[in-house]
Amino acid sequence: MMSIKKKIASLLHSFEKTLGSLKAAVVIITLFIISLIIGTFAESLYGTEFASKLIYRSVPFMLLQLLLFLSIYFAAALRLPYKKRLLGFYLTHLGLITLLAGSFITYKAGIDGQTILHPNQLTAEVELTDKAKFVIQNETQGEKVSMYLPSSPFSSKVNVSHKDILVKKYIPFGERVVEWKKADSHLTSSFPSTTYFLVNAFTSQEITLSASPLAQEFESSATLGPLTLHYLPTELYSCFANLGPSKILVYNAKEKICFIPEERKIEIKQTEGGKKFLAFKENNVIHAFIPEVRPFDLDENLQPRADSPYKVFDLKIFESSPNLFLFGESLSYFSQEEDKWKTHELKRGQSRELPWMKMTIETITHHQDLYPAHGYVSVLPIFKNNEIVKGGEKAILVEMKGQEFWVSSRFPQKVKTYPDKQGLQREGQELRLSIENDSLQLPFSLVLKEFIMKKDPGTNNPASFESFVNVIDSRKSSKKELAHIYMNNPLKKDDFTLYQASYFPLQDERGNPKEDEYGSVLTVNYDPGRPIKYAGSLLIVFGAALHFWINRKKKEKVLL
Amino acid sequence: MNKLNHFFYWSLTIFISFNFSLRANNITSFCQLEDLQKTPTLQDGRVKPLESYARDVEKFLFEKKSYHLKLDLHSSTEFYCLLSLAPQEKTLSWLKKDLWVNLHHEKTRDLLKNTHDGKNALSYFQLQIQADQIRSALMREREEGSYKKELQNLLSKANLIQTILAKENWMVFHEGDFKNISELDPLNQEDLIASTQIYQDKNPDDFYLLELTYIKLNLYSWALLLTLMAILTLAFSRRENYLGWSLSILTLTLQITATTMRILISNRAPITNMYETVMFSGMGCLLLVTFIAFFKKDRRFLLAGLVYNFSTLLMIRFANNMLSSSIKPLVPVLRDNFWLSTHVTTVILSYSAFAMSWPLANWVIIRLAQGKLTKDQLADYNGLLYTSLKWGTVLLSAGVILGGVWADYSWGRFWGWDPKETWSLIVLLCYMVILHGKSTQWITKRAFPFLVAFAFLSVIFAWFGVNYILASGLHSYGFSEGGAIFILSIFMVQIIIGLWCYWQTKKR
Repeated sequence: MMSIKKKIASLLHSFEKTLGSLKAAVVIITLFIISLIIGTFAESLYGTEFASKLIYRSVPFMLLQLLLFLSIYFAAALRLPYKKRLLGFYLTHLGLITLLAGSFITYKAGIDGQTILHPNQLTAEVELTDKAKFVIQNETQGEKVSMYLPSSPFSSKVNVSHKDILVKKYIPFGERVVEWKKADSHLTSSFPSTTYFLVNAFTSQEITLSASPLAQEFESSATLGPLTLHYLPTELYSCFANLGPSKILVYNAKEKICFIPEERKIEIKQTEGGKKFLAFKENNVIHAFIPEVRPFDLDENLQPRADSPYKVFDLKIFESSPNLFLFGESLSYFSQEEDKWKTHELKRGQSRELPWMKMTIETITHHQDLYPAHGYVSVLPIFKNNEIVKGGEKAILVEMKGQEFWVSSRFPQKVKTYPDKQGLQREGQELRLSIENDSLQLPFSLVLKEFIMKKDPGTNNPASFESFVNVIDSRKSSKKELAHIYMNNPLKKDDFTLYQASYFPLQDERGNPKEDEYGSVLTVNYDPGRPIKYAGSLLIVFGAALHFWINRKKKEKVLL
Repeated sequence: MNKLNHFFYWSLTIFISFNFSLRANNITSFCQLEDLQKTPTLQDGRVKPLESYARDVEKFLFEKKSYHLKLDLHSSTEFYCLLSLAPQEKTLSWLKKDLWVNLHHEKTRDLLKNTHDGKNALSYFQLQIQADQIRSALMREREEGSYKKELQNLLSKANLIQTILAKENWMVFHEGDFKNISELDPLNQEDLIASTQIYQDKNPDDFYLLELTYIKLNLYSWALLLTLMAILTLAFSRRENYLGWSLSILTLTLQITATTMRILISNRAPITNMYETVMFSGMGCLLLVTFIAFFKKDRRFLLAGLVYNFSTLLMIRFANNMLSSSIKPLVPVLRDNFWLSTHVTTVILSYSAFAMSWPLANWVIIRLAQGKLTKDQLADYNGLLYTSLKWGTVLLSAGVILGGVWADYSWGRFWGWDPKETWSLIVLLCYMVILHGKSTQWITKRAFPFLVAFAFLSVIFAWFGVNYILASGLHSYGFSEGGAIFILSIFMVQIIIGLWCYWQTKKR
């Protein structure tokens, strides 16, 4: 019995001796240095969040800090009882222990978040940016369920489910990409989809257009400033290439053929109102069209025929404004210079200059049998000029009703659940799935009354930002106090300190930034470890100075 | 009648051309006026003498401040003034023949290969013509890197020269406000010269004219010369000599004067950008070693400090691409900040203390390699190094902690693993490893100076590397980041010296 106790004691003692030794200190500090160097390089390459997930908030780094703490503690303990000559040493090491303890308290109990203030809107919410969660909000019943997401910087398998929602995979740094998927076999015909790259001196954009009904996230037309892109079935290209004087073409969507009226000797007449009119007979059915009004096939009562495969286009109406017609790997547009419709091949990798705004178009990918869908891939983020330029989206792969789809921090999803098994709810319920940052509520509310940005004379560089904020504390009557928060002048209230951190331009209805109208971003901070850290700091500096002062006459033995 | 007409025509032509050349001459002589350099201009959010701004412009456009000498002009002001005001034929011929922009990146040269003549430079005339092509290449380029950076740089150069030629760049003080010179059409030249006095009368507290004296005095070039002389005197005389001491004190006085002027001009502590910290550290180190050398009665400290000061002055004088000397307004968070000034000053002083150990440690390892150090001498030198490290670590601990206090005061957090603060901690830890390690058998007295020499690389990285390598993004270091090349070369040189000395010492 005694011997075991002794053994443990001696084991503890030797542990203490090893960890408290100078050599251990050298090893631990060196490990610490290496981790920090990796951390700073990771931050430079991949951003603050990545570095913090990789190193600063990772478990191994926490353990290393614990080791450092123990080593400092044992080093001091081993040099007791008190010797006067070591006073500086004791104080420094005590200071370090205090500092580390204070930091731990801050880490565990402190709050460091942001609150985003829009003008004249009441808010009490503080966003905690270092913790992301997956939120399922039942919009029918108003319930909210959330789960924290893994803190690893790399993509991880999850496999957690809530009712019929299964979370399969989490990507903390994801990039939205276009994935090409194979269409199910029940689609009898194939639909083309193409990715183009449009560029001129002022803008560049990659656009994927698709004719496939499966490509729900992709349109068959797009606008780019004044330019409109129309993605049309490939068969139409031949008609664009052989337009007649009427500049009308007829398309049969069922048989996938197109022809021009001149080809079949269909006469173009005029209605009483002076509009173009054409009609032809096929299998004893008369198909009639007034192409300037609508492209549909009309019956005897001039009502659109729902089951007709025919459509007509009067290209005349597309001549006055920039319209680009794309047929997968070919294109057509009206050249006002030459006063005629031009057609060109545009094979993959080829590019062609367009007659508008010195714009060039290039075909990047083209598929006949595959359809595009948005997906996410895990990437190493790229950090430039203080922001993530690539990989800034968190994404989760979710499976529901046997179907997989992505929910990302930028694009939340709305889905419907199965109808209830007991049949109480026949409709199923609306769910909103999203990724959000963790947040907390302040005990008081804030309203931004005014945000002022002063600029350096003659420039657009901000010289100072100031927020005037109404603080409303509902616990103590509803008296408002006006706080003036600006750089280096935070608001202190209820243990919280609110700092002017940043600002953002307000947007108008179209999403363009308004001039000189801003919202304000405040940092919200609560740090119970603060006094402890300050005390530790003072001890360290004072102790180090004292140590060297006491030993000023004593030459270092090892060095001599 | 016909003859009369003819006569009339000719006299008119002569009159016009005479008048025109008078106007052109007039501008030429006006631009040469010494007083023009003093006139206040508002640029980058600050009021400064025109000469100071003109030098910045010249430096940005041509990467050197003496480009105007090529054009037989006397000052940057004259050049800037002529660019803005000279008749179009003159500026056009300059743009076509004399003003060249350097192309650094292989891909840029390739892009513009039909327009430059193989000298890897493009005339500003061509640059303006090619601006659209450059812009669309920029739009096309999807990879962030030095190529993209150069394209952006070329466009800002094209834009700057465009605004100067369009008279939209020169801000002059007129009727109580700064205005574009184009708004003062016709320009009354006397008014412009008089604006100096009017501005000063209106703003008696603004020391803006001091900036002209400051840039013209070239105090740092003189300090460089004096430092070199002091080093030579101290290194080559065997006994204590007063000449060396006086030269050092004189250098120090010059540097303190320059620093004071800069404080007065910028109205803030002289430690807010790279240029200023380098400048301040040289001075700080010299001040520190003067004290230590005086009290310890050991001029080797002084010599080490002078060597370090010499290298900072070299950087200030010659590393213009890396260190910009122009004074710019601070970002809001750095303004009116007692803690910032205290913190940076302390950190820079600690770097100065480490800096003192650096040349000394290298000296010791070279002597060791040559086998010319006795045991006693080595012990003595190690004592000197140890003293520098003591000062350095105490100051740096204080500096790092004050940095925390500053961050807490400005952002509400004591420590946030920000690269700059993390690296200052890394430096402290590196020296801590040495200080702890020297008490074990791991670091012998021969290894000690080697480690001290290498440890200074951590200071270099914390000081420059974080700004020039980490902050600008590791993706984009390359041509314009003179800083990255500088850091790399210091690392290389130190490693070569270290390895060679180690190998030689081992052989003995």
